[in-house]
Amino acid sequence: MSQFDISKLPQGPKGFVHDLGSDQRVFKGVPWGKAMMWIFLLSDTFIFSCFLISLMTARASTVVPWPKASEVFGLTVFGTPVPLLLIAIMTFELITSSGTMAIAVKFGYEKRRKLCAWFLVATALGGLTFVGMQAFEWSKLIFHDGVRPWANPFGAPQFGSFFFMVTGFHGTHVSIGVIFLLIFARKTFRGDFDTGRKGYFTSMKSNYEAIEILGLYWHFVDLVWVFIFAFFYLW
Amino acid sequence: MEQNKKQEVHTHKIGIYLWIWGLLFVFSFFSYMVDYLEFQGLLRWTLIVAFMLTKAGLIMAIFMHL
Repeated sequence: MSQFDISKLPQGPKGFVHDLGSDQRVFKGVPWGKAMMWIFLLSDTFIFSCFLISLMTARASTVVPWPKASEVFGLTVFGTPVPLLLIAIMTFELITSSGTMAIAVKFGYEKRRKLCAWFLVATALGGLTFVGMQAFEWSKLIFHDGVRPWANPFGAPQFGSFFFMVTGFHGTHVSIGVIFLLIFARKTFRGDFDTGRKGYFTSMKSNYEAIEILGLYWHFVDLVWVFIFAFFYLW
Repeated sequence: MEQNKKQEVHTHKIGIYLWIWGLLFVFSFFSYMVDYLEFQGLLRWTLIVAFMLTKAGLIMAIFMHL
């Protein structure tokens, strides 16, 4: 370990190429959990890219007009129809939870245990509200409008299959994120990252970097929503 | 493991996060306005993609410390 000084090796992208080209371990100085999370997020990027690219291909190639999302997802407030209202609220909701997550990560690194944990709880509540609104949206489309993966009353039949596939896959990510946020909020409240208490499943010590890794996942879920909002709901 | 300690920890002041949060709100509002004001055609697509990339850039650069 102390044979060489890693600060003398090339850094950044050049260092990455250098390490790969000289049988060195790559991503030196990066905790393994963070490197693995980035690799996972990269693979997730590919999956969501496939969904969105095929969505745009279907929209461009279908001969039946694509349903107008602003009407399908509109709500009537006190007798006035407001286009896309539910989706706008969900968007603000998810951005807010991303903001609280960023603050939780910051408090984690400052070792302000309780503040960090409370912001994790706030983030989880934001995610839970988002999933709740999505459940409302799904049930409205399924039971009220009769949207099915193979047919819908608004237009091109592909609309239904893409709606369930894309928002369903994203909603699953949010739900898994909420579960992990609650688990990590509990761990933070208990002080696991200060005392170095070993994890139940991993039997390994952890620290506040775990919160940042969880944050990466949560921000990524928010990031994906930005693209879904643009291509599915607004386009 | 000693190597880990050398890694610099990326954090910003809390004000930066609140600022970015506010900016994301503003750009989401702009995106919503594109639909609300019923812009059509090339103008609509340009604005949607511009706001989308701006928001994605802010999230990746500040929140994800990329």
